[in-house]
Amino acid sequence: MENLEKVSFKKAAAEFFDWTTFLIAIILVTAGLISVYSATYMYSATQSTEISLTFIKQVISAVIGLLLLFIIIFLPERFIQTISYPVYGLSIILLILVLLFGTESAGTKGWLNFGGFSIQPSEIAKLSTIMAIARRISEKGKDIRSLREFGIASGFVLLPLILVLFQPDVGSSFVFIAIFFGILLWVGFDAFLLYVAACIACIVVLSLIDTTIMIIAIAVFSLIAFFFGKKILFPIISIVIFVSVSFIGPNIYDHLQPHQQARIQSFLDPESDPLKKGYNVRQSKLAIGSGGLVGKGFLQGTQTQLRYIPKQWTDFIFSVPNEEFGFLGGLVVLLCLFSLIWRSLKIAMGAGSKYYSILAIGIMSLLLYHTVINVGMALGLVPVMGIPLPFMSAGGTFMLVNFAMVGLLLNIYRTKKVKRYL
Amino acid sequence: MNNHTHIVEYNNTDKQQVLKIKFWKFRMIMIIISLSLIIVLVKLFEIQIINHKKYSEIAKKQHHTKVEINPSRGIIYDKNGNILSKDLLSISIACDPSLFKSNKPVDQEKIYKQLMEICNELALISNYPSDYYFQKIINSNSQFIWLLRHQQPQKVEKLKKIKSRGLILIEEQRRYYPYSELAAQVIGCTNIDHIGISGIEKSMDSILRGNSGYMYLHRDGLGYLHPSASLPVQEAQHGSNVYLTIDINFQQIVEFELKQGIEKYAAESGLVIAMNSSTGEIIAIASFPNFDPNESKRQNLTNLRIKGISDTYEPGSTFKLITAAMALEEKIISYNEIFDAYNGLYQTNSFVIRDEHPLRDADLATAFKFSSNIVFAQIAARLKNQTIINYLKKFGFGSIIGIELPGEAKGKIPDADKLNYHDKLYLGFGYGLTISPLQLLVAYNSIANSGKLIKPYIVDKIASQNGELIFQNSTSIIGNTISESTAKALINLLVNVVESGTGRNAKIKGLKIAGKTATSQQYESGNYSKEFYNASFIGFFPAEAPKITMIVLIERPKSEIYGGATSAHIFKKIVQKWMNTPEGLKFLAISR
Repeated sequence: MENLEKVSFKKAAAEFFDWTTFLIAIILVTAGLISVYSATYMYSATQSTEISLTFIKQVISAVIGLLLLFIIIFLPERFIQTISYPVYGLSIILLILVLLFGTESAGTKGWLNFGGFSIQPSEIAKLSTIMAIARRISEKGKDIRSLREFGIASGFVLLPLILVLFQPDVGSSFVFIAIFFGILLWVGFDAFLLYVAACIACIVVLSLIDTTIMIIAIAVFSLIAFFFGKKILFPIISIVIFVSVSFIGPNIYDHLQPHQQARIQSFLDPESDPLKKGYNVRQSKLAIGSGGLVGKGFLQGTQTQLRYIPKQWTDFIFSVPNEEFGFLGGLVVLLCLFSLIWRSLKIAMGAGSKYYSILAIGIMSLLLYHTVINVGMALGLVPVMGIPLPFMSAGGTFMLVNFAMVGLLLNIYRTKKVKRYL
Repeated sequence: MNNHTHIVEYNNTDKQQVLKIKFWKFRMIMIIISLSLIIVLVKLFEIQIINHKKYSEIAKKQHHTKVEINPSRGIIYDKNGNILSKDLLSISIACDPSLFKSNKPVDQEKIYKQLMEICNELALISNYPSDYYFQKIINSNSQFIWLLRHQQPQKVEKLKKIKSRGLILIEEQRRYYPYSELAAQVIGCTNIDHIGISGIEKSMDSILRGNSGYMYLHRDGLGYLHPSASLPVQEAQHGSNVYLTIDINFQQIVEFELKQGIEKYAAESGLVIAMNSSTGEIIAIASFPNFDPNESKRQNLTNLRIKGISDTYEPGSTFKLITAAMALEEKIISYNEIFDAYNGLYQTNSFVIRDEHPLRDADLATAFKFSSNIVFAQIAARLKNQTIINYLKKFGFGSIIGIELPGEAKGKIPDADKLNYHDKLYLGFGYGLTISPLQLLVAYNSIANSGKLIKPYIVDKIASQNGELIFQNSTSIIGNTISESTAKALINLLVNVVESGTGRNAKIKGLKIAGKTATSQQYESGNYSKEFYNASFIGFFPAEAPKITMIVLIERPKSEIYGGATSAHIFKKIVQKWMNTPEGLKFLAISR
């Protein structure tokens, strides 16, 4: 038995390691570094501001991230599961600290400065929340469909959500909802309730855009509600909820921060006030559109190099490869991102434990939400909110979180394989 | 307990069902992922492939900026290389009012504070109160308004220090005239956009202005402009320099004396034109009242007129020379013929012709000397209509000579078939036709040149700003009026006028001047005015070998109306002063 193990271990070393996921991550990081380099190129060429340091910082973050990834791969499941709560607790403390001592940027108090570098606690909280919920739900005898368990899980989500909302960063706070939604769907939470929740979100958005479309949507949603095989009372209640939400939506909008309102307005009609609110989206679309099939060439993107897109290296990084390497460049990035998401799902599917399965699906939800929102933002499909593109957007904390997530995915993959061998 | 939440507990009995549920969720999530990818890809395809052209063009438009490169305007020199008009750097102040508006009250307060600072500074430079500018800026909906144009650079030093996004300082070229009023009408002036609107500035505008070039620059998102080798550039072609035949020193004498004369005789206005008799170069043109082209506000547009070429009038007695020239050339009269001058009163049943100086019998010389209207009326009456018109045309009346100045007047000469006896009588002493002073000057000059009609010109040469000669003007003879012998006889008549006739006031010891006076009544609402006269003197000197031909005309003199007293005197003063200048001494020394 011992002999067999030794022999097969060498052979299996390659098998334990999920090369596909790893290589996708490496391609994305590389593409991201090239894009950040290009987006900040003119700043380093003309003046030595903090912006010119962005690329170097990003490289350093990637290297540290890679180390983190390899450490995480070999951590035992029990250890990860054990530290889930402490990590979550730490991230909550950081979220409180950032509200007290954080530095403000573009109206959001989201960064904690430690001498030379700064961290973004909300990014850490996204992953730690996944870990905490995964641990809670995977505990034996805890049924998410019980009100108590659902309440506790919701509490795990709401705590960081509210703290992030105070920064205020509405975009990031939505991430927690997306993660929770994904996990609930995965662990078999009542599909009807999830359906109603999703419909409510749709109705809120539509109530701000077009009343006619909203009314049609409410009608369609209501009709579908009857096909869940629930007692007649449930769909009727849901219809009441839909209608009341359609009135509440605009009310909430009125109470949003002015810059949030502006962002929503710019999303609803990007062309209406291009120089002020929708300016970034308009410029991003011009960069992407003018890139064409094959792009303008590295460092040749006029929109990028002429600095038409403010802070392009963070929220609008997707426009860089699309302008300089065209549709094909964008396609590579998109396919890599969606492959990563798909790999996450596969890994969640085949995970060796419930904890790991939930962890993987949470990571998948996070990656999917970030990718769709960020790319949608660059294309003018969704409102502008500070949601970075995984592995691409500049930002040290998020980069480390990305590597940590992939590290976890690889750990889950490895653990499952190891189990099969034992 | 439902097992499907415990997805990883491989209970043999439930395994099948668990897997079934798991795959259902897996598929559902796959659908969500795929749908997301499809939506994003479709949108990406729409933007990047389908609408690629549209977005490319918008992007291009926004980062290509065409910047006009203004050519520098050519310099105007006088004959001796003195600068009469040149470009000078000036600063124009404009602003973008939209940048002085903010939605945030806190910002608005800051902006207003800065705006007040700007307006106070503007008030110090200009004549307007600061509130005028404040209201102008905050009430404007435009993105660009001019506040003050063409200021001296040192005046805006303080404004330059105010760091405001809305304030725009533009370097512009302003036209500067070192001699101010001197020759102002001839040199002309430019409007605020640097385009010539009068004088040489107008007539030579296309030459002076050059061609503006352009260059395309990359404009970045922060508003900075970057040159790029890959973008087209068209260099500006600078305007050429124009050298005039004007002698600014002589012009100065002329203008001084004309102004003195006008004041002395309480005249309304006046003009002088002087030309080089043998070459046709115009050496001075003065019109009074004049203006200072350096003043940004130009009160009176009529002062921009070059009266000597744009105004027409009935010449009166100075025209008698032309009558005599026609008659002598056609041999209708002889030099020694005695005319009956009717003792100063020639009367028919319908009209009366008077002489100021009554004569009984007069030969041509005497008639000239005392400017007898009666004699010249009779001489003209002897000429055939067609002959008169032919000569008028030969002398250049009734048509444009083609000097390089704007606004040249044709004048009006009568039709041959409409000319009756009565008209001819009056034409004989200079009524019934209108001419410009320049035309008369050119006609007189042809007599000074033995009948050769010399084209007057004012542009001596045109050279590029590098000094490359582009055009050199030269004397051109455009016709022949009379024979040399007739011309000689006429010169003698003119000399007599100055020596002992009506032109005595122009007489200068040691210099033989040939000239003729005129005091013509101005035609006012259908009648010849008894109050308003044109008093003129025209002549050339030295009579033996004429060097300068000059006309002096003053309009509506009050204290003294006769050309012999007023204009002849101004003529003399000009010549005397000029004789004492180095140029004058040299000029005359050669001729002696």
